Amino acid sequence: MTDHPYRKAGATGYWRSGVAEKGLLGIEKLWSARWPLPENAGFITFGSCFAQHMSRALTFREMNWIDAEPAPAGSSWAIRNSYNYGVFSARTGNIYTAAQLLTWVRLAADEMAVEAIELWEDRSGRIYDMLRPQIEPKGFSSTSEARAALRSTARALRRAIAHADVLVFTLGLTEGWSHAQTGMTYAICPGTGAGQFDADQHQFHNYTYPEILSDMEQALALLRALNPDLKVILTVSPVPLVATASGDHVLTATTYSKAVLRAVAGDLAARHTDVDYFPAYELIASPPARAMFFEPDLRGIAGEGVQLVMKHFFAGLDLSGPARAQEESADGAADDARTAAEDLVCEELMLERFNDA
Amino acid sequence: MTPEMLFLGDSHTVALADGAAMLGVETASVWFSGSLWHDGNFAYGEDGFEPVEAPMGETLLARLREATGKRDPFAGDLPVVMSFGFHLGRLTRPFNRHGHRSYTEGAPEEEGTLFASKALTEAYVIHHRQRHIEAALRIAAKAPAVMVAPPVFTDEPNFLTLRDTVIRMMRAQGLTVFDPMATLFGAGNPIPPDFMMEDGQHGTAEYGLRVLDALGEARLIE
Repeated sequence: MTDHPYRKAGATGYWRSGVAEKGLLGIEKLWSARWPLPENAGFITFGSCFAQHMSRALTFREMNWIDAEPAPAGSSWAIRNSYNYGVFSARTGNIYTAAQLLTWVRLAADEMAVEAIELWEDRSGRIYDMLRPQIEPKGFSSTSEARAALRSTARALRRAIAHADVLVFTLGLTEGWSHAQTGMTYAICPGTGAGQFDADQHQFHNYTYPEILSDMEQALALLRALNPDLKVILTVSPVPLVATASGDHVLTATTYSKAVLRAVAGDLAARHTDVDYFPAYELIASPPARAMFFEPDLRGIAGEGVQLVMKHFFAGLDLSGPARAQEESADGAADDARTAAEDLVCEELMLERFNDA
Repeated sequence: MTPEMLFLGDSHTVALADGAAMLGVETASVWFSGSLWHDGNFAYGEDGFEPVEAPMGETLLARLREATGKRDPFAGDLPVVMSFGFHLGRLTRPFNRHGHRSYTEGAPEEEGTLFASKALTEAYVIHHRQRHIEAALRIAAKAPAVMVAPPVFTDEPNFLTLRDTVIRMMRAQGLTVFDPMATLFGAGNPIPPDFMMEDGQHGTAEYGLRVLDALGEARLIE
């Protein structure tokens, strides 16, 4: 029998032994991270709505998930939830496209001023920014407040990138909207959640493979400038499109979108030693999954699917590297001490009068 | 002696009651620590306002009930001067912990400072102080009552913003709030040293006298 390269493919290199005979739940060694990471590696997460599962999973496992823009201590769960704290490592909101990621990284790197970000005003005078129009439940009180908020998030994003060991970024969409004159990208189509649609100003754009690849390459270059040691793990969201403005059927539009994003992610991982691809998409949306993890709407992903994805992710991580230096985090101990000291003074004052009465 | 004016609040109420006493007013007070106020150790039920697991406050209320012969001594014709619902140290310290700065126009933005919107600040205050505001409103519904904001000893920005936000939230819900700082000393200025106790945390009886005078002039109390 002549020799050929497939003899070295091993069991996981053949569909029959690697997939069909194993079944989805038996698939092994699907992914191994290409680099060892510190045992307490600092993770930052951004991307489309599917990326939120990553931050939750890291937090649940008490891993070092970096939240560079936390809510004020003492904030209720309702406040943190409605003001979008603790979702991603900075309050960027969902980042659906590579163009959006590049915009955010440019802001973080001071290559773009927040004044370049378009703001919308609703009828009651509340202001929304086009990168994350739903970041606060009722928008901002003024344009200056909205810009201050953007600057704060840009600073937080810069800190997050600078202090992280790994960025996990989930690519979501190829379809997006941009301004016809400025080219600035919108998070959502104007008029769908904020703003007003203007056909002369607002252009639909189904970003192509070369465009997405270019935007990602530029973003990676800026990320490396901010943190030369940062590793990037790319994933592709398996969640189908809510709707398409392409004119195609939403099923074909979805397949196109995911195929392009998957190709970009794979090619970037092949080109760069500091980029890896994690197959979240495959675990949910490929044949062995038999669509079992989709909710009845064939769009939402069931918790069991998320768990399977995370199981493979954490199994594939190599956290054998030496621990990174622990950064001090603000806890309440100093506050408690000051409170106790103040209380003592207050109690003594009242006790004096109490005893006099 | 039958009280002519009632005081309810935290330790900042002491100066106000002392000021009223300097005017010759017979006063009775229920006060307990700001920390217990912050933690919500109170209730408003059939018998009106009651401290809960606040021994000093419970004892003082019991005395007041005996002195007035009423289960709800804060209901009636006697003016009630309130000073609670602020407890700003307990609000500001956690708010500051991660470096947040509540947005004000023109404030410097420094690296490491985290933005907190006005709306978020209001939501934060409402989360921590809505019960207090509601208790004050219920008292004010049954008696001539006024809330007096505590004196200011600092120029720390979040302290001032949170204080202003509490006042604004109280007024927005219909409570009469007197701000001695704005009226007597100019908004944004701390209390003058002459009116500050040595502990650096409380106003003096003379400060309380100035406040009571101002309340009278504004016809907020009779």
